[in-house]
Amino acid sequence: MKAALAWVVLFAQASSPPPDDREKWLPPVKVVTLPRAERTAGEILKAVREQTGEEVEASGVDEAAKATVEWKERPVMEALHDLCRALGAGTVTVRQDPKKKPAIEIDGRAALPAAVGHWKQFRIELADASVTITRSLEGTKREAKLDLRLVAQPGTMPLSVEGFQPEEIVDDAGWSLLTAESAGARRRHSDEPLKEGEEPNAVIVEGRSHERDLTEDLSVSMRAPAEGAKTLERLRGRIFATFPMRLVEQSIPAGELVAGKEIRIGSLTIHVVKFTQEGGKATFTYKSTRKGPGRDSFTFTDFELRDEKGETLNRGYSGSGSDEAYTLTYSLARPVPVVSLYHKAYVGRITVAIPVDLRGIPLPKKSP
Amino acid sequence: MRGWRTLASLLVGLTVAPRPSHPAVQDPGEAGVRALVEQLDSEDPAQRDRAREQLNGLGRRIIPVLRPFLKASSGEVAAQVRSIIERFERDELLERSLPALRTVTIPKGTRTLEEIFRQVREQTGYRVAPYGMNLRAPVEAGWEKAPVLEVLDDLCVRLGQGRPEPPAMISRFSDDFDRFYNRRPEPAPPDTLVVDGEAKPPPATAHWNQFRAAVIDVVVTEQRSLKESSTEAALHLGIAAQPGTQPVFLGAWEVLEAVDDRGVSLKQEGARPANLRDEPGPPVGESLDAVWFTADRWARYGESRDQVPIQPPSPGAKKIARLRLNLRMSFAFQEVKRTLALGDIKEKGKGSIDFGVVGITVSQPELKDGTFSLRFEVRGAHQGSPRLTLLDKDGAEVRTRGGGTSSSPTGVQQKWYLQGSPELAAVRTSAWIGQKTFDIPFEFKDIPLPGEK
Repeated sequence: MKAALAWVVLFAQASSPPPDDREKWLPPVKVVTLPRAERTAGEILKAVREQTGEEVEASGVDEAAKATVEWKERPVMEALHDLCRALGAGTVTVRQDPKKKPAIEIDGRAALPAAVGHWKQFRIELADASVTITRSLEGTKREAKLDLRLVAQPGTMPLSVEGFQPEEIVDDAGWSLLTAESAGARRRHSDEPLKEGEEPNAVIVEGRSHERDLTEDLSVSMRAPAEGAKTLERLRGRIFATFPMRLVEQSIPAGELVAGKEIRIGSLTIHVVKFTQEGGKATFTYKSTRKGPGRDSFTFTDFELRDEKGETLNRGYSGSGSDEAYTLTYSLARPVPVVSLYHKAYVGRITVAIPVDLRGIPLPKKSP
Repeated sequence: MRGWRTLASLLVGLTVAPRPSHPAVQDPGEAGVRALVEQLDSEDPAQRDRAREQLNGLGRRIIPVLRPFLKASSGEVAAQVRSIIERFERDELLERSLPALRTVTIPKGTRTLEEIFRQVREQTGYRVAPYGMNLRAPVEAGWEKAPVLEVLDDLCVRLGQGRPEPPAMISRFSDDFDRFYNRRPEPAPPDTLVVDGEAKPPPATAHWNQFRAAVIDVVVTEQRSLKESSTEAALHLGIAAQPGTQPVFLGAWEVLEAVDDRGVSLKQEGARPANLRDEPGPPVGESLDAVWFTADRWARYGESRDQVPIQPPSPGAKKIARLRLNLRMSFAFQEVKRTLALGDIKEKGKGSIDFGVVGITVSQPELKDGTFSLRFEVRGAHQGSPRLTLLDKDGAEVRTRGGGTSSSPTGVQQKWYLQGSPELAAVRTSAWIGQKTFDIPFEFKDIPLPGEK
């Protein structure tokens, strides 16, 4: 039922226009269909490019090598992994460099990943598994962790990858390796429990530097495997990723920043108390109220003070305040009149629970 | 003459360097001191040096005998005598932050803990506060001029239980090291040595005069992954000293030698300690004009473990046979407080607070909307950052609701959120002036290593 709901969330845009801009950050899954036949790798790659429109850059792949594949609406990331598997080598990644056009890259010389799983736009790969034994005069402690790498179809840009919630981790000796912390994962920087679905009124400040993106591996803590265990028989769980629904930008003339003015951003309302400027210093005092859930306290919003040409004047600020009101004091680059107050924020979020099901994960060998 | 007889036995205690740098000298009496002073004018350089060494070794109680020579001697002798007296005076100042070594002598025999702790108190002035120990338990032990912390450690080892917990060393050196120094409002009581009778003795301790280093743990971490394997090892060390020890700087541990019982060196070349206290600090020796700005609150050293990386011991090794380390510490000579009237700043546009080679220029005092602010700029080489305190017309500290500082290349802007409308009159700041820096050597033997399982 959950999978069906997620499908509705992800693909509702296919049947009716989305009510927001979600496709900017969560584009529809691209699929490939090829009837069963033996083809060269070059032919298969050509078909993938044609059917998906994606840039696929293959290096170290023998394009004359033959492979037999059969795909019916196979998500592109999974299809390319199938190709690597058929060829006996290769890894699939997505180029994250913002300066270059996004592309799927295949390194045909690399070994197949130790464990990999796919779900729609997403690929979950085992980056590493490690066991740490700490011996001290106070006793011996054994810990283990897995590093998972989440890769997504080009153009997929989560606001945040919240974390992995394990449901089952079992080694080949039959031991459950879940820890007490495995249950009840929380949203990053918040006490909110992780929950998939849409929250159209959530407000998330744009450009928060502490969010985790797709370039960071996810670390999964677990109990150390049994002494003789050689593999993890299965790892099941969900990775939660959050996508924005729309980006809201507003520019309020400085003359309107008077007591009683309300600035609405989704469920959040900024109540202006006063705005003053004295040469190179400007002070903005406001209250904020909000309805419904949202992880951002929104205490100090990244407002920009702009001049008549629309250029940013503020170069730093200090803030103080309480539940009653916040006061931000800005240092301005030039003592010219502030013409407008600009801000941007994401309004609405979609939380996607990406199912992970990896089998036969190898464990590191003991030192000789 | 009684004082002179006890002089020699006080030499170690009165010498401010942790270990006396001058040879112990027999009591020469007042006439002997005068004779040594006369030798400062000898034509034989070796004899002059010997005389100076001996006078230094006699300690500051000879100052009254020396003073008349400042006027009634040749220029050379007066200069040398002045230098010796100034040294004694500095040593005396130093003792305020580095109390003299206190030792215990108890003849070998069987005594109760109660009796031993009583003697420790009588001989050192330190009260031993044990808990979780049967004070009537008999112990066979004896010590000859042993540092007090060494006596307590030795006692716990003999009992197989107990851990001395000397108070943390405290410092008023001001710096933004909150990340690893715990700041508290009050210093610890200076005369109590707690012994936790319910704890096990530390795995190994080493002593050097007033100071005690303890190996709290040895940790070997083996990490295996699909990509690589690695093994790391670290010593967890703690530093303590006699109560009242107040360094202005505590450096990082420097491993000089570490060898396991298989004869393999465990010294890790180029390793940086895991704790953040890895700034090089001042060089060993004295600096009379060094300036260390001080804080309103106390920083405490030695409450947490310092992790010192070593090479993993060789397979089968059961202990670290030998470990030699240095720990650098600086002690300041004297704390100086300076006050600047706000009226002077307003009148002249700016004012100056001087600490010898270092000066603070204060300007732009402004009171607006219950917030007082000013700018200051520090000139000259110094350690730490000045903390300015607001005073009212009676010289009392003005209570505030907090404040803050912002720094730029041109200076520091400091502001205070005032409570009410106090009459502001002056700002005050303080600094430690002058320092003496030591490398304190510790030597451990037979440190146990964690087992394989």
